[in-house]
Amino acid sequence: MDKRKIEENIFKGLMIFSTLVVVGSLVLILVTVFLKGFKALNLDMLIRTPKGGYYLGKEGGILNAISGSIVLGIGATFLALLVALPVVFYLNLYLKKKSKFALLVRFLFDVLWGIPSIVYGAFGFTVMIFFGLQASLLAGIITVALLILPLMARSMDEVLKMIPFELKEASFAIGATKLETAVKVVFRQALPGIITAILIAFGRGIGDAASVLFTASFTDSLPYSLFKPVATLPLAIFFQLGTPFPEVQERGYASALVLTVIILFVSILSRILSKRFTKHMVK
Amino acid sequence: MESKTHISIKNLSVWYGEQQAVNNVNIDIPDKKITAIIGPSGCGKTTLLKSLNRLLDDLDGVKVTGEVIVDEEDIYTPNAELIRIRKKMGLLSQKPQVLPMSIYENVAYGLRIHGVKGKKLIKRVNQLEKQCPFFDVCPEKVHIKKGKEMDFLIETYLRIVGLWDEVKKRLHSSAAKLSIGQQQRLCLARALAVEPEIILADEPTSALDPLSSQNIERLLVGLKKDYTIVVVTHILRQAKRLADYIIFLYLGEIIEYGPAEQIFENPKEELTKEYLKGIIS
Ligand SMILES: Nc1ncnc2c1ncn2[C@@H]1O[C@H](COP(=O)(O)OP(=O)(O)OP(=O)(O)O)[C@@H](O)[C@H]1O
Ligand SMILES: [Mg+2]
Repeated sequence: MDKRKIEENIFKGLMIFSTLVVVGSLVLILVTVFLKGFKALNLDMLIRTPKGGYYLGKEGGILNAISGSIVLGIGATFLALLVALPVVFYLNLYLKKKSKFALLVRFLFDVLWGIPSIVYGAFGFTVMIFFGLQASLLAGIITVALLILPLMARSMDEVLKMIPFELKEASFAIGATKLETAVKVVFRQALPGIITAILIAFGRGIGDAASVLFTASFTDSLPYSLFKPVATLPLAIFFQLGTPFPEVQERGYASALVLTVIILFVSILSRILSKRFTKHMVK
Repeated sequence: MESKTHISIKNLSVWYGEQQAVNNVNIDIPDKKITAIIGPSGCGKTTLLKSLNRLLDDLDGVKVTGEVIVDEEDIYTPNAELIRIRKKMGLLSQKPQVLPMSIYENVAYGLRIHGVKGKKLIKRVNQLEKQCPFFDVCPEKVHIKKGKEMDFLIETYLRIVGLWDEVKKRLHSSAAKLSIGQQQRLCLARALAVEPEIILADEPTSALDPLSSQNIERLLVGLKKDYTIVVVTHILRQAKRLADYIIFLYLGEIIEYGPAEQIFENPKEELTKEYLKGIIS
């Protein structure tokens, strides 16, 4: 074999190896969570809230955390969306490509993206104290919304950046305003990407423990008020794994399995939805 | 010039960053005639065309100086109403660009954004009915059912551009699935639906087979009764067939401008002669 062919084979081998590492660790995580969690998982866990002594091994379930996480995740995603959409449309339709301001905003989002979630939690906590508020669903929603905003906005931004200028031009040429072009043309073309961005952000938000630790706190009851604490799955996992009792720890793995399944479901949903909305996409 | 002027271009220059693409153009484009812009690739034809409805505004680093006067109004003054100006002109871009929606909605788009509904819609239908004999394409009109006015308009415009028979069974499927030639005609229908006074066409047949090209050419000739048409083309024979007036552009400058026969039979400038002979291209 000549040198170039060896070279080619070495690098190809390396690429395959790296791919296997990625796929392998995903499979390993899923298998671990599944094997360890499935044993302890039962219907009670899914449909009941913790009863007295649940964390000592007595009966009950984690419906409080499941419902809390879903409510909090949806609320935060919705709130982040309300901010992200106008920002990305402003960046991509109203500002020119080389605008300094757009550059700055994108840079800030990238910085925010890199800030650890515990810092968001601490920030949310400080603000709460300043206003004399207690930990609540609302505080959790706001903090998680801030946490996922950069991810959501930058993913949408990348989608909107890819939209060909000619498409906007075609709309402008008919006499459409920027707003009409944004809502009726760009939004439709970008919809699959926007849906994906929303669901990725939801996945990130629902899985985060550190940002809700102080802001949403924890409770054994179902979410019933914006101004009362709310339970979340990541914290439920954390608390259960932290107990010295093996059977409670197993329930922790079961909770992790539930969370994983929710996120998996959302990923698949995002695939299906974005596929469905490519119907009218140009090119 | 015997004919009335519709668009008057004065000292127009366009820069992309440092590079000048159009250099001090002065020209009067006559009303209800076909004016063809010819010239070699990269000479600024598209740029000149797009400067007529201020479509360069949204590009990065573009500078436009001079005046473009349409119906006695300089469209480059700061308080010119961009939307009204653009509504006056239907643009066919060099690459057809359909919108991400159904065939039907592509044509309806302009009507919807300009708020053509209710009484306005009915008025438009009546106008179009009068024009129909000329286009020779009126849908089986008999009676337009109430609430079906939009359908009638869409059908008529699609018939005008000769697309109706090909798409009538799939009006609500995606426009992106049409062939390029069909997309080009759809874009023309979409432009006509806005009721422009001027049609700006940038190589409107570049993606078409000979037959469809012929259709578009015939269409443009038919439309000139009602519209002022500016068409960019690099096909000299097409320019000969279509144009009443010719603008010969070279490296961003107008070399020669005049009635088509004169330019083709009897060009004054050496460069024009060479271009027509095919020495430069
Ligand atoms: N968006 C742009 N940014 C920078 N330069 C541009 C841009 N568009 C066009 N140009 C330059 O301006 C000059 C004129 O371009 P234009 O597209 O007007 O030429 P054209 O005559 O339409 O050519 P063709 O027949 O190939 O379509 C070219 O040199 C081109 O490279
Ligand atoms: Mg061109």
